Amino acid sequence: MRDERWGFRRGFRLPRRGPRALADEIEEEILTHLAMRTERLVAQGLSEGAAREEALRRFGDMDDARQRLRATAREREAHMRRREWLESLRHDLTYAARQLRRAPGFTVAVALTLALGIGANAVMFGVVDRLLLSPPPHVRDADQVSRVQLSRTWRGMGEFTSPITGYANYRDLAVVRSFAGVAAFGFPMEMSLGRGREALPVRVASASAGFFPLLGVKPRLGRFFLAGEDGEPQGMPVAVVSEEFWRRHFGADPGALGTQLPLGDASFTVVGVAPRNFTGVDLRAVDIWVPVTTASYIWMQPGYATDRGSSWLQVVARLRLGADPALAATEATLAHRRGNAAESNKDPNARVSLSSVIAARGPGEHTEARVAAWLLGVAAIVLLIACANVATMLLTRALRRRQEIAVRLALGVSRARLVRQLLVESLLLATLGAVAALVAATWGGALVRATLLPDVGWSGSPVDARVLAVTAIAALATGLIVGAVPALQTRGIDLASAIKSGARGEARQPWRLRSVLLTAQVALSVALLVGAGLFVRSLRKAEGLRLGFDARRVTLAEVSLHQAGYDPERQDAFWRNALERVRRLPGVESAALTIATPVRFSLAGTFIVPGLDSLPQLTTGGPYKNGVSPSYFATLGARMAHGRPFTEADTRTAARVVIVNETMARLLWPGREPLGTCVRLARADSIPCATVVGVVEDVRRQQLREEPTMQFYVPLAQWRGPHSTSLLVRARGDAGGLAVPVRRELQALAPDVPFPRVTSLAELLDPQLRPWRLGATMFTLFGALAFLVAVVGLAGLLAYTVAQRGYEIGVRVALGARSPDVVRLVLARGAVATAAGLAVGLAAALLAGRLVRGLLFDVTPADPIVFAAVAGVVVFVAAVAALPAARRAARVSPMIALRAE
Amino acid sequence: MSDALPLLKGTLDLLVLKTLSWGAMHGFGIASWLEDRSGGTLGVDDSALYQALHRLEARGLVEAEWGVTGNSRRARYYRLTTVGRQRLRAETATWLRYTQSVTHILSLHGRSA
Repeated sequence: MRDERWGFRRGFRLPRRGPRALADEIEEEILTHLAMRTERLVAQGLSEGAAREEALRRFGDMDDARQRLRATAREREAHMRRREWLESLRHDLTYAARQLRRAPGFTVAVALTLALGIGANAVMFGVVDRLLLSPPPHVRDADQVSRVQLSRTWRGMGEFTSPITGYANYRDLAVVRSFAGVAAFGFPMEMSLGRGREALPVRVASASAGFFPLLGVKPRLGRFFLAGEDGEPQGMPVAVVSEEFWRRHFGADPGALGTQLPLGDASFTVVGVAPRNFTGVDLRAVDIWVPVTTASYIWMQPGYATDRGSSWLQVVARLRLGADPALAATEATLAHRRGNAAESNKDPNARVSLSSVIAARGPGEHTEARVAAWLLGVAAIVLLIACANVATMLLTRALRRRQEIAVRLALGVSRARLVRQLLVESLLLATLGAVAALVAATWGGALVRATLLPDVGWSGSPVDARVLAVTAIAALATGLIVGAVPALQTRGIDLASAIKSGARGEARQPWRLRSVLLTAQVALSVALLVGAGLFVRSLRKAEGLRLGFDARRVTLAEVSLHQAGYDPERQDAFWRNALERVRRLPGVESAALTIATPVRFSLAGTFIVPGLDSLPQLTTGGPYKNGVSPSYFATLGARMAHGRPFTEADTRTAARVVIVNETMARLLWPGREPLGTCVRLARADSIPCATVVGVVEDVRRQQLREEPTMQFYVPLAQWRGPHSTSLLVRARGDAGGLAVPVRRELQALAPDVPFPRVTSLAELLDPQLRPWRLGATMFTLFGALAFLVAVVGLAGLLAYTVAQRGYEIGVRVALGARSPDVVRLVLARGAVATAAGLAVGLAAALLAGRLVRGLLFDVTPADPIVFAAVAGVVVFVAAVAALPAARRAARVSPMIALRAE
Repeated sequence: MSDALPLLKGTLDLLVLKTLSWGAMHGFGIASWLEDRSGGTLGVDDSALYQALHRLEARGLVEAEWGVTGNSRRARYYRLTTVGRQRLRAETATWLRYTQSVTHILSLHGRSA
């Protein structure tokens, strides 16, 4: 009966009532009730007074009722407010969605731009999260776990801190009372699983029995090591395999437990499977874990437990609950000094410290992590640029919708609601962008992981819960920032003029804002391009270094014959055959045998020059010795400075000869001729001296960037020292294709050959180039994309200018302005914005450059070539981008423009 | 009134919903409608009725609007929402099942009665 009135308030969104009004309503309702009740009672025959009394009595406790009714009413109002808010949000969302559907080109452009910015952040956050932010997978209460590192003072060279130590030093720490536990683990070693053609390369790491329980890891299957299996001296041959290895090698068969894994000369029983993605506390993946004592006994030396001179283990400790880390470090220092008290070369100032267990925060070189952190900053800049661009697009759109907005304002839609509608629209766009970004990040992240950071044992999808959360936050912030610009613009709308003039009339201010946004975009992308240039130059310099070998053309083949139980005679025979067979392979220019190998393995040796008391002390240590076959230098591509290389005539029985490197010649024979000098290569007098017959250029021992190193070489036939021969092969072209045929030749030599590791020297050096490759690739990618976005923004701005000022241009042309004048008029704005952006960007790059100095390779942060190149590219591309607008401006006909009005 | 049975918890809500199923009413209207049909009094204070009404409104089972009575008096009129109507149907069924089983048990002839 009253139906048409219900819902009236909801329909017109009358303002909700405050608590005062609610109380009044309740009061009125009660009074009405009492009045009606009294009326009824009077009608039933009661006196006025008695009726009122009875009505009150029947009503009950008035104060209590009031309180309760008010509380319920407040609750009801809050509930309705929430519902109304949600309903209007839904309304705004449908409205925004309709608007976006109506302009699909615009929507796609904005969503893609935002996807680029948000996606870049998602990818880089994923990388940085694994390297720098997250604790290693499966480690429980990681903040209680620390790496233990040792600082020692070296005579005249200051204090050196290293996480690498020996077994005895690790055992010393067992007494530290602030530690709930101490455990040791070894670096992953590349080993051969099995022999012959079926042999497989695997990465084997050692871990003490306490390692897994200390970290709080639970086995996926079976168990970890028992204390008895990790006992001194030789432990037990048991192994825990990684989940990935278990899937790959055993097809995830639970029957894998108890099977034998032949590693080197020993066979290990599988007792457990580690959980998925478990890599210990380092980043590199491990296939097989074996007990520390077992590994040290077999692969180090039987007397490892008392050897305080060698370092091959790392140590982690878990603090007792509530223990003070500083106190723990002090206790550990005391324990270390006590353990070393009897040592002859003990360091009274040796110090133990604790550091984070998060992989790249630990000690040592983690340039990649630092570059990645920088790239996260770069990604944030890309997002800013994308925001600026999208803000410009939304602004343009808002200007086109001025009339619509003005009409709605005139109809009484509140500004707050209008602003909310604009924000909902931009948030919707940001959400679209975020969804596209997540798709892009899944692919892009996988690509970055595989190509730029292949050594890290990545866990799970590139988009995990944390990346998802960061993406959501980025999208929200982006939506708000981007939406704020057009929302602020609604302030300046003059209703009357906006409605009258439609889309064309425009205030001056939005234009200025667009120029500022464009300037910012250009500036930021210029800074990124400079960064890209610096990293590209660094990579070029690093790749172009003269190393003493042609990294791209030389392949190194290693076979652990010693581990496989070959005696020295059998090893020699094997390598002689290998050299013969490999030389005959097509595509092989030359091949040589060597004991030490560039990048991987070097040996220190004795070198006594008559008349010289001692050799100079170099920071690189040494001198380093090597035994090489005659074609070694030709195979590497190392240049003979003078003298001769070794020949087939330098046999075991021939006169002893030696070749020194240029650093050695310079330091030991300054200004004199080393050739002909007879030097002693052993302390024993019984061994005859060796004549220096040649000087060869320095060959890098380990690092791309290395201080001069003393190196000398003797013929392999005259070598005295460990037999650990390797084969070097020089390809006629790129070494890439030789790995497979060389490995096949080596495996064909004997049925029990361990897996031959065949890699080009370029591949071995690659991890050292990786920080610059990562920086160069990502900076260039992000910089180019950012610049592309900025250029599109510039072209858009100019096109818009021509469209907006068509009438004015027409008038000018009609009044006799020539095309160049008109073009100048149009381009002036774009040129000013670009020039300003360029200047600001270059200045910013100059300032920020100082911060990346440490990450560059032989390039100053103010490299003039890079700055000039970036400026040139920006000016050129901006000019090209301005062409269409200039052409259109030149073609404006006065008639068309004038008729338009 | 003293001989009236106290209302079971939840019963008042159900009675109010049932009353409103005939159409919109103000609080006093509901009270007298119920009194007329229960042959006397409800056994609760009038304030309890209003609390029930406001509670039902907060839960969205009824909605309220100011209207004018036959005597040109301003009064708050209540009516069932769709949700309220559904709830009434469900609760009525439950109630009938419940009372049936209680009635059945009470009408058994006990041995020691």
